[in-house]
Amino acid sequence: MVKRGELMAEMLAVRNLTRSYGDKVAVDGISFSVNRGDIFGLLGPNGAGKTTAIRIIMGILASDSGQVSLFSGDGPDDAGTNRIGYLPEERGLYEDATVIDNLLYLAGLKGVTRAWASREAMEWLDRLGLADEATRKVDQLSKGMQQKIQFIASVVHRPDLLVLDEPFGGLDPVNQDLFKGVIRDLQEQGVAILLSAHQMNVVEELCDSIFMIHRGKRVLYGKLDDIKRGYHESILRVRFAPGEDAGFLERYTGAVVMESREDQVTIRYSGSREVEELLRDISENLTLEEISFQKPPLHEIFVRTVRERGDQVEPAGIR
Amino acid sequence: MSQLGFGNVMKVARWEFLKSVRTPTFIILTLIIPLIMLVTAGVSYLSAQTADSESVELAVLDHIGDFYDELTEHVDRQQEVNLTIIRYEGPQEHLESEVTAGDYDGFLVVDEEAVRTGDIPYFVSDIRDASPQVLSGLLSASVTSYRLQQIGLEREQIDEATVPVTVRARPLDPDEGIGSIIGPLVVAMILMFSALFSGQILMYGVLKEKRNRIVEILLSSISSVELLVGKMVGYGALGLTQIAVWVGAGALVAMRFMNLSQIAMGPGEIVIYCAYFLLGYALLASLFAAMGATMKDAEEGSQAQGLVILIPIVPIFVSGPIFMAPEALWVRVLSHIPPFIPATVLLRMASTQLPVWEIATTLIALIASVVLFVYAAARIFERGMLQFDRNISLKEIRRMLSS
Repeated sequence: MVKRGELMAEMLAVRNLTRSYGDKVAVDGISFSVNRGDIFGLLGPNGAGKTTAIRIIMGILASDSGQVSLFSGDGPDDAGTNRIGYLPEERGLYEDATVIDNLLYLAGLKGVTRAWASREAMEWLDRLGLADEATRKVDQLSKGMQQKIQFIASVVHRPDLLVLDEPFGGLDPVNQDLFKGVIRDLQEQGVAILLSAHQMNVVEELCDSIFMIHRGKRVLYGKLDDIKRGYHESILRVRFAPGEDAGFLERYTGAVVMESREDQVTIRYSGSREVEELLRDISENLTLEEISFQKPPLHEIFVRTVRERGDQVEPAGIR
Repeated sequence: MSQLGFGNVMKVARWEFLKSVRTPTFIILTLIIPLIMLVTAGVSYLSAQTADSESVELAVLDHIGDFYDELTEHVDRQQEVNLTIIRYEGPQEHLESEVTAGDYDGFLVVDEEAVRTGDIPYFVSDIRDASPQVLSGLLSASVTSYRLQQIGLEREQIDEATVPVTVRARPLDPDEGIGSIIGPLVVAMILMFSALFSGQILMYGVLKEKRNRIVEILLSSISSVELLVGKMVGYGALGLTQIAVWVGAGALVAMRFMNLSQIAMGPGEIVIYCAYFLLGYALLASLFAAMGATMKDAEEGSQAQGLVILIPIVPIFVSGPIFMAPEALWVRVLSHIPPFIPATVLLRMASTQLPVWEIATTLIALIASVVLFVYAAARIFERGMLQFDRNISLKEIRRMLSS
């Protein structure tokens, strides 16, 4: 368990990072930081610039400008990169080598001893139900098993910062839950986790803070709760006595009726009145049986924020 | 560009070596060449043995009368051919029938005219079985001896006058033996084989890492230069292992037929050959690795690779003119052009004594080009390895190198 004071230690700081490919600006002056014990979501549709940003953080790509600071130091050096675990979006292993050989080699490149890595690898294999597969060749394993091995390769050297690029891609729901559990456990142990994804519902479940990126630029950044709380729209679902007229809501300033049935109406509210006033007005006109008030899901906040800025989001890009 | 750490280079080299040395392809290829060597040597040895053990029985129709004795003396002295001669007293027609029947392998007809002109008729039933070259030396010596006898010389005088003459070239420098000719040739061949084999595995290894995407994980732990150099060292060691097996097997086979001390080389020569070999390998390996990084799949690899293989072996294609004129200006120029340096210089070394200054300038050119090639390869490697789904165009490669 991590002590309270340690939680604020900055594991990663990105400042004004910019990278272009020819005329296309892939990452455009983004800045954010990730603290110890954070699960930080880097969100955006496909092609938003997430992988480019991550590759710069990992030292695989050079930035045109800006700075990456690891563990409160400067740039990725040997000691720094050895403390990072990385699961890239484009995943792979040596298919003609055994599981354990793959893990020991990759751990060795992170500077840990063979004996230590061997112990850790076996513990992880055991935990993810793959202990019997240690001496099998990777190409004899299923895709799901290979994904677990790749995940183990990213954590076997006990990193302080774990970078997961689309970790849930291609996983079935059971394994998604398994990975979520493991990620939460690592967070408990104080590992800072930078998680890139385009499945916003998954991120919403896991992340404390998020950075939303679109076409290389920042869309939203901050604590997830703060972002949702600060978003000007709310979704209101009201169930009332059958036969009553909820038509007044269509004329209500700031309200847009999304769905209307005999005893139920759902509205999107972005007016200036306080929620309490709105609730009072509704209860004066209808006999309430049930009422729920919530902020829109993250992907909706993302899409609307992008559109409000006059930009477009490709429908297939986010989920 | 990124840093180069010895520890990481060795980790990559060790992994690549151990991973490849256990593959069936490597084991089969490494064993099959010595096996071919052994089989070829065995077959030629056996056929030579069989040829030696074959006996030839010839009848001699001596119309002079005393030539047969002279011939017998020479036949007894020689050891090359298992030859038996028998004096035949009957008519030639009968002898022809006996040869046709297989009683003799053939017959010689000797008379005054034949001894005078030196044209001795040799009859065989099938002209394809005749090996006159085997007999010519023997008959030549016998006829010369007989003629001298007729002049009146004694046997001792004849023996003294007919001692065979042989011409044997000797180097002015007693240390310069056949090793100085065979050494560079062997090194040139080994360089080509090693570069070809190791380079091929290296390139496919790079392609494979691109295809299965593991390269991104690797590059998040070590620099592209460390990965590149580690691979070059690993596959270089693999090539050397293979060469050691081949040379060992070759030496064992060669020992059967020749005195290996004849091709022994001095330490100075070994150091120079090793320098050309190692630097030449590094040059070609970096070329192969860079190529692998620019390609999308193995099919593309084999086509483009064919072209790259041709470049360093160009000197082998023109080895004839290089041997004939090792000091020619164009050969000297070729000796300083990076991909051709190792093979050209080694071929020249086999045909002439290179001046020290030229060894120095070619080595300097080679070292400089290795540094340049590895640097360029690392740049291409760094940028090309993450381009998973496409080939890199020449224009892009130019941009990678200039940026």
